[in-house]
Formats: sequence, structure tokens, C-alpha cells
Amino acid sequence: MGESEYKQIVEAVLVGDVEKTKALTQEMLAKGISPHDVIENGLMEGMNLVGDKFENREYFLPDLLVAAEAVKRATEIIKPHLKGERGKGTVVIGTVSGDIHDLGKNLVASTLEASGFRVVDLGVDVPPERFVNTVKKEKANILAISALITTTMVGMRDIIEMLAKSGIRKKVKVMVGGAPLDENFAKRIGADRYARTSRDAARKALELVEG
Amino acid sequence: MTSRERVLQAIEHKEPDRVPVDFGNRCWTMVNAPPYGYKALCEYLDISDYPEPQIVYLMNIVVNVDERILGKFNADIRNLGSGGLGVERLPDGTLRDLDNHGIIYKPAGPYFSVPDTLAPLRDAISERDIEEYQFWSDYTNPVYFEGKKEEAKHLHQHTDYAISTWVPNVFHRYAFVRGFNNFMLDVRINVNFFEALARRILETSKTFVQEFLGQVGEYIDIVCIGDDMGTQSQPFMSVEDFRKYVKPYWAELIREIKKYTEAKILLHCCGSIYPLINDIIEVGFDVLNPIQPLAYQMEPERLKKDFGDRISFLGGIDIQRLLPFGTPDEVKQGVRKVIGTLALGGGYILAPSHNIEPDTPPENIVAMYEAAKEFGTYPIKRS
Repeated sequence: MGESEYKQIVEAVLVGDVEKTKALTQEMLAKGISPHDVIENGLMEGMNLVGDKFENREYFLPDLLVAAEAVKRATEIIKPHLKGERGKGTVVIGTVSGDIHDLGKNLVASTLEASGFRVVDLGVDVPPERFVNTVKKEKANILAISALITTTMVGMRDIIEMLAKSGIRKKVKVMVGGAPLDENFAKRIGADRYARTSRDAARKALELVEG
Repeated sequence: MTSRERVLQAIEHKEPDRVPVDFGNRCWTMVNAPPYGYKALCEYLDISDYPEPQIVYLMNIVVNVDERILGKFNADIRNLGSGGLGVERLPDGTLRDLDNHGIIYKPAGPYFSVPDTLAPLRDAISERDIEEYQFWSDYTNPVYFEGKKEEAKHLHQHTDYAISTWVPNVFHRYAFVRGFNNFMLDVRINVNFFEALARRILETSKTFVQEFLGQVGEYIDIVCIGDDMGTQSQPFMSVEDFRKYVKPYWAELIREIKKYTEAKILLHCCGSIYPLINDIIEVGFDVLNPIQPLAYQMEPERLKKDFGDRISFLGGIDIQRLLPFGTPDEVKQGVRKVIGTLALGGGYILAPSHNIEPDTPPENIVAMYEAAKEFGTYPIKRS
């Protein structure tokens, strides 16, 4: 497999060509390329470039979401070939109780998925106990919590406290994000990382699992 | 000088006697929920016999703020609402908004969510799906407008306030009936469907304009459209896509409005939208709201400098940090600074940068409007 083959699939993700990304994925798997290589060197690489462009405001939501859609569809093709491997680890993600914003959270979930994580998305308005129970049940490596309103972001502290009470705080890393948050707030409530953007979240999630 | 004259002069970039202010209108009012919210404000101001709050679903906001509060704050605008069929409660606890094309609201904390997973047209693929959808609101139904002409005429003739009213948007509704992610994807991979759905929604909004402004247009000073295009850090789409997929629909809606009224036209468009503002001006909007100063490139200084002579601003007092977390004194200084920036030469109506969230103490809201009084008399000192 030459580099140019990856170049094609990276390009297909970058321009958000869903059908071409799927076709190339199928083609590469048929040629015997390992599913992980397709993900890492193809889909992830493409999504990383998309994430960079989004952060630099060269790309906007339609560009980002259509690339994520291409990666998602290609991943569906690859999944049966992964034979139960978990890739980088498991992330449980959701928006805090009382908060219904999910755009940023969805972007983070897609980016993490494209980065090789298994993502369990609990959606919006998630009660603290549901976060904690799912972390336990899924043996999650990372809990990622989102909030977009000043009134709901304080609920993140409750979740972290509940993790501690349940005796699993040390087993899971906690990442937080959302427009009203900052580094200081994350520190104050005892989170492990604050992520400003979806790309930032992927970088930090990899940091957390790779130590 | 009357409130109406003050507001209109400001919008025309003339300096009135003082900076006009407003409160209680649907994108610059307050949320009705604890710990503070509307109830706490009324109690703080010693008003106990206020009318039952009239709530707009979705944001859970009060749109009938007590006249005594509006009077105390010197609010210069009064809003003319339209009637409607209201919401239908569904067995699973969600609500269907019969006046907004059957959008589904799901209760979530103090607000409501409009989940993509419940968007009624999320799985639609063809124009036929759009036509066969059964919950398109029919704005020829008299329930929307009965008694409104008399009410508008009364407000115009017997009060001094500038009179505003809201007409339906296009893309906010698109996002809600179709799901936000689908909205963004449609402009990339489903363009024909996008054009059919946007057209369908635009036509209903134009019908509303014809029926409503056809009756009340002559009494209205400001027609408001709320159509969000920004997140905290950037516009939803590039300026190129915006010109292709959004601007023509707004232009058509504005042309329709102008057939029935000489009112100024306000665009409520949240978040970071700096790259779109030239086009927003070009398409014919007179006032931009809400001016969220913490959103990327939305600092009052930048906006006044780059666009201040061509469009007016309504909003601008930060609800994300200053109002909830500032001290009353910090709020006053913050207001003073915004006035000293946006109000020079007119062109500014003071209001919060969106609906005030329930974590904002009432003393900060009062401080905001006291500062508007204290620092808002022309000539204004530059910040």
C-alpha cells in the first residue's frame, strides 16, 4: 500500500465526499489493509486535518459535519472487521443535567470516535447518577462532560463528587468543555482536563489514555 | 422626547436625549426559573400582585413583564404579540408547537430542548415528504390576528412607546423541523431538498407577513426576525455558503415585509457572526441584536468601528459573565463602558445580550438599568 492510497481517502474525508470515502474504505479492506491502518492513516488523518481547519475557521459546521458523516459511514463498514478490539479506549460523553445543548458535544463525540475511541453518548440533560453508572458499566477510561449555560456547568462538580463517593474517581479521567467554561473552572471542580474545542478534546483524550 | 422618537432617532444614527433602553421583549427578557428569575426580580422590587407570567416555550421566558418594572427601567419599546393555537401535550411528555410547524419540545431542566432525534422531518428525503407533512402552520387562520389591528392601533395612538412585533424566521425553523445536524448536512449533500424545505418554510413566513403586517403594518415601528447563524466561536457556515443558502431567503422575506410597513427591521442573530454583518446590512436590516460581547469578534468596539455608521445595535450587556457573576458595581461600570462605545452618535438601544438567565441576582438587573439612566444621557463620554 503506497502513501498515495491513503492520500486519496484523506482527501475524500477532507472534502466531505461521503460516497468516495466509503468506496475507498471498502477497496482498501478488500486489498487486505488492516482496519486499524485505514482508521489511523486514512480516516483519522483526514478528520485531524478537518479539525485543524475548523479551529482555524477555514472550515465551518457543514464542512465539519459532512466529514464526520463520511468517517462515521466508513467506520460502520470497518466495525465488523475490528473483531471486538476497543482501539484507544472507551469514552462516556454527555451534556449535564438541565442543559440541552448538544452541538459541541456531538462534535467532540464524532472527533473522538474518529480518533479511535469507542464512544458511549448519553445525549443531553443527563442526570449525575446516569453518568456514574454508565462509567461503571462500560468500564470507561474517560468521562467527557459538556455544559453551555452558566447555571448548569456547576452540575459538573456534583458528577465528579459522585464518582469519588462511588469509589471510581481514580479509575476514570474526567474532561469538561463548553462555552462558559475555562481552565480555572475545570481545576476548581477537580476535572483532569478542560477542552476548548473538539480537536483539543481529541488531543487531550489521547494524552490521558497514553499517559 | 417620546420613547418612540428616541428609539427611531437612535436607529437612524442620531443622538436622542438619552440612550433608549428595553427589557421584557422575547430575546431580551428573562427566564422564569429559580434560583432567581422573574419571581425574584418582582420580589426584589416589592411587586407581589404581578400578572401570571406568560411564558414562551423553549427558552421558558416571560413576555409579559409587569408594566411597573418596564416603567422603572425606562423601557422604550412595547411588543405586539400575535395569537396562536398553542402547544399540544403528547403522551410521552413532549410538547408539539402547533404555531411553529409542529416542532417538538422536550422538557429539560428550566428550559426545553428540540432534539434532532424528534425533529418531525428528520427522515424526509423528497419534496413529497415535505408536502405531505401534516403540521405546517396555517397562518391564514384568524386565530393569529384577531383583535390585533385594534391593539396595534391603540398602542400606536395612545402610548408613546416604539412598537415592535416578531414575524417568523426561516432557518431557525428549518433547524427545528429537520434537526440541526441535518440542516448543516443538507447544504452539503442534499441541496435540492434544502432548497425545497427552505422555500416551503419561507412561503409560510411570507403568508404570516401578508396576513399580519397587512393589518398592523402601519402601526409598527420595528419588525423583528430571529434567525440564528452563529455559535460562540464562529458563524454556522462560511460567508460563501451564507450568501448562497441563507441571504436570498432573508432578502425575499424583507421585500415582503417592506410591502406592508415602513418599520425598521431588526435581526436577532446569536453568537459570533462578524463575517456576515456586511451582508446583513446589505440585505436591508436596520438593527442587529443581541451583540454577545464574549462571542468571537463581537466586541462592541470592533462592531461600532466597522459597522456602526451603517447598522444600529440592540443588546450588548453581557449575560454570560457580567450579569450573573459581576457585582452591582461591576455591572454599572460594564454598562458605562458599552454605552461609551456603542451609543456614540446614536445607533444603540441598551438591553441584555440575550434573555437573562436565572442565576442572575435581581440587584444586578436593577444595577444595569440604573447605570443606563446614570450614564445614558447625551452627550455621551467616549469609553
